[in-house]
Amino acid sequence: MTEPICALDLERMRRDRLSKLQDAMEAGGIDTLLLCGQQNVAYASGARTPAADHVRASWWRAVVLLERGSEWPHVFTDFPEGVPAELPDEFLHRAVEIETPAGAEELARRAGANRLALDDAPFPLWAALGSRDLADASAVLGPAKITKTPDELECIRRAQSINERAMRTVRPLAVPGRPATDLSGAFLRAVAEIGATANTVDPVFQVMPRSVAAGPFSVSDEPVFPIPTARRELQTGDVMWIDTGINLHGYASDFGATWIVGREPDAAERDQFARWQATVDRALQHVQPGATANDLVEAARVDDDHRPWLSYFYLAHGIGTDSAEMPFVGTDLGDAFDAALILQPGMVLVFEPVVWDDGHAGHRSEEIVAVTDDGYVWLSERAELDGGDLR
Amino acid sequence: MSRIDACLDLMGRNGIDVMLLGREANARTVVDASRLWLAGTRVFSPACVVVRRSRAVHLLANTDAVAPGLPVDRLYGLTWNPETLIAALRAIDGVSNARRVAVDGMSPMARGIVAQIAPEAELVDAGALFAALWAIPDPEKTTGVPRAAVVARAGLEAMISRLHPGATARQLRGLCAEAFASHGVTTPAFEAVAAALGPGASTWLPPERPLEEDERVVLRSGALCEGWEASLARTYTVARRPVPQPDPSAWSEMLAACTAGTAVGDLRARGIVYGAGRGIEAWSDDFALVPGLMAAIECRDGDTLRQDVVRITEREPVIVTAA
Repeated sequence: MTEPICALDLERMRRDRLSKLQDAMEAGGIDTLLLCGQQNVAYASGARTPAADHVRASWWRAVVLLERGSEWPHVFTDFPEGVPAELPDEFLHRAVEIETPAGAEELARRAGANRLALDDAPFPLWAALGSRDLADASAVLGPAKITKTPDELECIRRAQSINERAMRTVRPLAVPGRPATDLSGAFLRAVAEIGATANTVDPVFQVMPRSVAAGPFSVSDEPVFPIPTARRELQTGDVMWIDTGINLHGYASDFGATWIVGREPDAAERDQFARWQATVDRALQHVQPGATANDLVEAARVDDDHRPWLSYFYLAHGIGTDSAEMPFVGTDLGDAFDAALILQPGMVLVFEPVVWDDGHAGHRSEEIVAVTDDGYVWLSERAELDGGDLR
Repeated sequence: MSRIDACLDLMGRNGIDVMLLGREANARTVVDASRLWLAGTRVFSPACVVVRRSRAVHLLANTDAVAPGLPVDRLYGLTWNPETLIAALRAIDGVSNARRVAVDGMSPMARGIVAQIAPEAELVDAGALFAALWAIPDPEKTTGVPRAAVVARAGLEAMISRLHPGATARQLRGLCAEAFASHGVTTPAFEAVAAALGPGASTWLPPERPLEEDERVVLRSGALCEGWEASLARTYTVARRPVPQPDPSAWSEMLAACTAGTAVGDLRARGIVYGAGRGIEAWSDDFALVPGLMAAIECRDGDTLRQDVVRITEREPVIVTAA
């Protein structure tokens, strides 16, 4: 079991986040922060909108306008019951339809003429903002989000715990003859019952090929992952990679595991798992304030030049209101990027190396830690081969 | 004319050389992409490219397994590195010298990337083109939306079966998702809702408390099945044997008005209306309904709410989400 980080106080968490945003606006010389991306809106205001498919979510989006020095953000939404109770009435507004020119122009007027930072816009809003010199909101959101407060860490830990508990319901169903999509159904039911605010990603239960050549075409000659779960009956000996994520109070979880269907893991699979765990353990030895992402990459590397993870992802990524956010470790941004990224207390790392033995499939799990003043603390349970005692 | 031919034809008529698309529904429209479903909005990024001159669709994906039939040389792989993305997009024939590029979103950071991909291009909104494209009756939509409707209906039935005193909205949401999955569908149009029908609330974000006996509740279910969506909502009172509530007073009038030629603005006087297809297909007020289109219509009064998807015909509409 992971240990609670603190007694969760959501109002304090929202206050702390606003304070960090204000500091970042001050430092960046930004007068107004205009947020249209729902994860960013949730970060700045705590406002919730229904979980929905991309375009529907775009039409339903809440919008935040935060002015420098203001104690509260302006929230524009069709879902007033999703807004935290402490927001004063004068900051809560009916939604503006920024997918239409009329709504976009209304919001552009509200945004004023000062130095504006924007995260993302439907084209009508982009057009309404016209020739203004816009800063990218990442200049404000990046510094605020890259480290988490204790309340944020506790949200992530609890989200992960819900995700892990749901997997106890699902693992016994991963048997020969069962359609993989049944596992998704059982998972979605379980996370809702246990207490998830929402689901964030189509649950992945992907049967992996034994070799890259035996699998679907791959642009990078590596295993292809993730592919949406197919309604295909599981078979004895299937090696299944799992990847799921839920939302709790706006925070994401990220559960990754490798399960073997219908039989005990064999010696090769146990060895793959041991090598996977050793990779994480080598990296963990360097997780402390002041270390660089490059230190983790170097530690995880095998035989000098092999990076045991998917080149199109990473050795580790952060998590927060987005399921993958800064810090990124071991991406294709390159060594200089990793060398410049210095670990700080409050950063979160989701480790997801991959051990692949072409011809014998491979192992992928995920483990989450948060950087502390002198090392790290676990936000996930440690990974287990084949679900461990879940079977 | 196939959907992609219709798309290229519209691009030609609007002088659009290239489309850079970030919205999943738009990628589904031009290439039947079935990439991993994620809830919510996402920042604009050129994740699908349509080039008029070569008549080619290019897709951000590591495999053609998510877009069967797409030649693999038209895939460009996932990357975190803007330089790699820019190089991949510039390498697509017809992109770097495009004069007019349609996009379906933008951000300050993406603007810098697009400026390097197509330095000479004027940017225009792809929204109008997709609205025109979706307004063309499509036989695949006529069969795809009803398939999604079967799944959405099954989800609603699962919720009704357990709309008992003490049940929570979360439990009902889970039952709906499980019912979808029993049909092989793991993606919703939206996560299912069971919410009290009251003033001041949207009926979309239910509270945590258990439902009470005789409480009037709106149940909403929406499925995304093979890239097509369908949704419906009904009002029930909570009981051991949940009681369906009569239709809103304006329902039959609104339904009857859903015929070819009716302006969407006229329907909006009675309730909510939008196109159902590759997700929400937005219609302007002056858009006139066309036979073969699928309309999501929703009507409410103080006591009850109903939503269905109907197929537009020359005469009476056909409710595709009916039992």
